[in-house]
Amino acid sequence: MNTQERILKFFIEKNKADDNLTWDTDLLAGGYVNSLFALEIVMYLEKEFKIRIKRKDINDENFRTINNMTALVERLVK
Amino acid sequence: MEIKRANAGKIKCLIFDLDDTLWEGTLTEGGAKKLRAGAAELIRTLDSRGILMSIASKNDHDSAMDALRRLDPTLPEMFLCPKISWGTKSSAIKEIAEDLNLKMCNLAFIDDSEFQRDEVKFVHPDISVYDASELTSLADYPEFTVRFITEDSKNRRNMYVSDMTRDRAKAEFDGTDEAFMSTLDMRLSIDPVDETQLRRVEELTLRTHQLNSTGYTYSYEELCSFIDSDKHEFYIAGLTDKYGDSGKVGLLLMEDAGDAYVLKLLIVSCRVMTRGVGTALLTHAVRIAAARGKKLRAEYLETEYNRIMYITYKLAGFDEICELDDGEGCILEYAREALPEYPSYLNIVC
Repeated sequence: MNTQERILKFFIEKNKADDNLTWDTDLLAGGYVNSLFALEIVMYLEKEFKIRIKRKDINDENFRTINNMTALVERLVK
Repeated sequence: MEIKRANAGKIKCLIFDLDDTLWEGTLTEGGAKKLRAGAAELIRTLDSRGILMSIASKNDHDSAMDALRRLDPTLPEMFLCPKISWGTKSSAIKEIAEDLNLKMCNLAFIDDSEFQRDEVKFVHPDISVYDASELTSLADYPEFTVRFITEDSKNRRNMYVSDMTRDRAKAEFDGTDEAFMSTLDMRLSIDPVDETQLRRVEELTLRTHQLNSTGYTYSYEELCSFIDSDKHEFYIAGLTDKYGDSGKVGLLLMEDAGDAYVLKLLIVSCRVMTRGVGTALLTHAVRIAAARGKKLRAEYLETEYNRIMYITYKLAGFDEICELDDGEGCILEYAREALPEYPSYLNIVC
């Protein structure tokens, strides 16, 4: 699985996915991600991809879509 | 500001063993005919203080619940999520902590068996354990003592019961969290703090660690002084929904700093942390500041538990404007042109 698919799998496992969810769905406007789940995502990404997400990378753009999270992870694993 | 009293009021749930701890003798050997001396008083006292109780016992679940009911028909309902099975006590306690959404350091376990206490303490080093001989003195220990008994503490057990009903409905719900919440018919009241609520205010500041944006706690006297202060805006939030009244669940304290209001406290009870209260209180704060032509700033001090607070600020449209000296914290400011909206699933009454 690539990064994008691993993140989607996390959404499915956490029962946060529905039929409308795509790579580009606005997760914040669509009610998929509240701050509690955002915290779970941050902790999951750090553990799964062995990265450290600093305060400056925690913003709504980086967490707005699965594609944006993928881009963040790929930038940080380098 | 006062340093949190080390142990006072630390215990939020006491977990009982049954045989030779809550009752005399062993159920499977014909015991359990009588509660141990002091047990009934302890249960009543802790319940009135808002300290929850549960059970971790190696017995047959149904026979043990029957035995409890024979001792006193009102007894079974005092215990939330009792775990009565032949598994280890440490795993029973882990399940209780998860069901009640409490941290190990806020749990206590009482058992007559040193072996069982050691097993639990070995797996969960943060839990407090007590011998059954301490049953009669437990209520006087500082970790079981609360300064005030509030309406919320008296109702706490019922609130947890309705929380669990709601959680089950949520687990069965097919759809996003936001869609589920819009089915709850939630009302969030946001009112200026008055003196009659101060005790609950203090209780919230002492009990809540996870969602306290700064980790500051204020003394009763300091909290009291904010009510009449011209430099402070001080609000308390209460939440109800179709499953019941969750009581007073949030606090918002802002200080006037000239061009801006500075958030000094933003506290949300961890029982309701998935229900948008934090976002609603932040929205309220921004809107009050804007109505008076001011910016809204927030101080964030990183602690072990409150990273979620930072995420809440950022997702709500705050940006960092400077770091605090040690890099362990920062000042955030609401950065968007548009005013934030309250979550659509909450009816705000203010």
